[in-house]
Amino acid sequence: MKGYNVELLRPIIKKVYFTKKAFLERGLPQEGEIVCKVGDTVKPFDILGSTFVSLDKRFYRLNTKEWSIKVADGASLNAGDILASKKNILPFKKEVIRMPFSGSVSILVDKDVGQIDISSFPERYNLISGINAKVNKLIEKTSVLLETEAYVVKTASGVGKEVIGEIKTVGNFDTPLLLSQLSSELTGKIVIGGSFASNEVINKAQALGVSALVVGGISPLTQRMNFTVLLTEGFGRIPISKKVWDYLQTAQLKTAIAVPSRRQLIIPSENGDDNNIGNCEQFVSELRVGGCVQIFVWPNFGFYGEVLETGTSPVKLPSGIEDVLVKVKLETGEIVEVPVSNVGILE
Amino acid sequence: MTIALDFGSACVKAVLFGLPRGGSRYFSFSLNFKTPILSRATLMSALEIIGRISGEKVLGSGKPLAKIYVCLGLPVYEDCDLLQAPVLLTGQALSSLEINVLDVGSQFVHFNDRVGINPIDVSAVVNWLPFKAEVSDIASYIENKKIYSSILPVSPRDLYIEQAIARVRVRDILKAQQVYSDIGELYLTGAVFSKAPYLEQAILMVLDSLQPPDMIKLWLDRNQILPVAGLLKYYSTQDYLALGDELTPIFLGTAISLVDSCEVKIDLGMGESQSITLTSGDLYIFPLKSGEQASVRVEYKSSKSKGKTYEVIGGEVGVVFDLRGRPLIIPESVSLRQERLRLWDNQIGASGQIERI
Repeated sequence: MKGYNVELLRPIIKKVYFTKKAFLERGLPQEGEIVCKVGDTVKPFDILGSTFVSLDKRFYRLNTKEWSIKVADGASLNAGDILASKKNILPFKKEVIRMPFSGSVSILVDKDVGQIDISSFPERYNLISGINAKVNKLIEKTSVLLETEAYVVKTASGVGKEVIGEIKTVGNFDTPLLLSQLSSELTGKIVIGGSFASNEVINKAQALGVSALVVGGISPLTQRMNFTVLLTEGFGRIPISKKVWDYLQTAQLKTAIAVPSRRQLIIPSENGDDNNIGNCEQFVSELRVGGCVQIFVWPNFGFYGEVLETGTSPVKLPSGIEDVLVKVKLETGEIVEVPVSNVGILE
Repeated sequence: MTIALDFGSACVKAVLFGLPRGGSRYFSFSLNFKTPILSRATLMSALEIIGRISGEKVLGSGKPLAKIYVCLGLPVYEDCDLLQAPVLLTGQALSSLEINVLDVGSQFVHFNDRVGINPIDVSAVVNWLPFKAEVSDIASYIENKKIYSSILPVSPRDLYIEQAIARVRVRDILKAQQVYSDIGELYLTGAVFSKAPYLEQAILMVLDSLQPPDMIKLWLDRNQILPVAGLLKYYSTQDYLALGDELTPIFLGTAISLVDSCEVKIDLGMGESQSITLTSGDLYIFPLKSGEQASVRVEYKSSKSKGKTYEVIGGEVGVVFDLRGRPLIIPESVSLRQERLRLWDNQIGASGQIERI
């Protein structure tokens, strides 16, 4: 077994890999009935379970000195029925709040504040598999753990909840995603594209009903939002890894699942897809001339290149900290020297 | 053979004892990015890497051939049948040393057995920077550092950001854990201290964040060995005592906080004492060398404050006099604040421009 030079040991970055065991949890929005069994093989449109659930819920909080609540607690109403009206307003200027959908009402009044909670009538909700998979585990009445063969795109960070959708690449890997690139054709899709998504772009995507965005980076100040975004590289304007971009271009219109909690985009494989990109076992390796690295220092943060030369002893950086330098030829042809601590080995 | 491992968020520090050819070895290596939570598989991978770095046979048929002790920062490590003793949390390991240790790692701050994991107030970080910076840029730096923990600051700007983050994180843990700042002796460990290009920077970070009210003696653990030392002291006194002298923390010196302008008389025991006038609001270093001792008599110009005598010993930096007041007030005006931070940097030599008294 060959020894390692400890100064040249760096993390291995697996951007895209194939695994025979990718796990996905599919859950009911509330307790119901799970109809599959452990060991079952399921197809994308197979029903795993079902429940009855109100698909729309809202509430209104009103000052009862200004508003009269016109319905009783527990009432069932049709869409358009009046819930409350404003007091002391001329009849021709009457201001009212109407039921936006058919459903039930619950009222809670505390001193001068009245809260009206409305829920649409429960409808049957079917939990669909969405993918070809095998049932690995059940959690009674709530969820199913599916096991599938899949490509996994490992991202740097993610926000929002797990969502499913078809992959659609938009724009380019190294330029920010633009408002003009988002249209209603992308509703329900997992949109891949751009080195950066601004607040405005994220808001528009959410308004259009896009399932998720996968971009190079976002501003860290937009992290707390109720929308799913996967960041392939990190925070700021960072081009999507070319390797990820090239792979996702080939995966257009395939069903994928964005799992922000695990920072993964999982693309269940189909027959004939099994061209192994590599598995994910080792976590560090020794930097070698000719190898490919990703750089994690500005101004080249996120860029890739080939190692031309590795230093033999530490040198003082402008910050005063010492580290071994590595000479890298970027994809643009530019040659840069970066500290070995600020690169990862790309596989 | 015995292997003691400290799994930090960014790297593994390992000490090997009882090697077939005798002696011990110490080294550290980077962990994978984005892996604050370690798994059993990672322990095995780490052992394989240790074998390849050291050239020693540490694994056989997938099992360790050595006695292994592990400490780490997160309470998520599953009990591992490969280990002879339960995994210790970093805080447990540090507290077994029975000294005050401040450990600022890439993800966690430990003060002895207490751990700080609060989110960072980015605007507080900006307040410690001697240059103009956008909150979003600093927030990006902090978030990217969480993902790519082992990356080093290359530019002076990045170094300032890292040290500003450390000040805020230390201040936060002291506040959250209600740690009394009047600590007589303190050992500093973790990358932000141990990799500080100038020793004075480590002292300034402590003075700014801890704001000791009186005298404090400071040590610096350049090898980040203290968690491993604590682990060994907890489990194997014999191995703890065998840690080499070259791994021992260095003594930086003594810092004395003074409340107002004053006259200090430094008696080195070699005849007449040196008399120096110190001005309120400034920082000073007296280069008392390692091993030297001195008696420092402080006489305030104002009659409000009483004089005092301190017995000090020299260190790698010397004796630092901090006359900036308690609590330390940073000017609100951006330009004034930046000017003041640069001035303090220069006065203590933290920028490499040493102005010793």
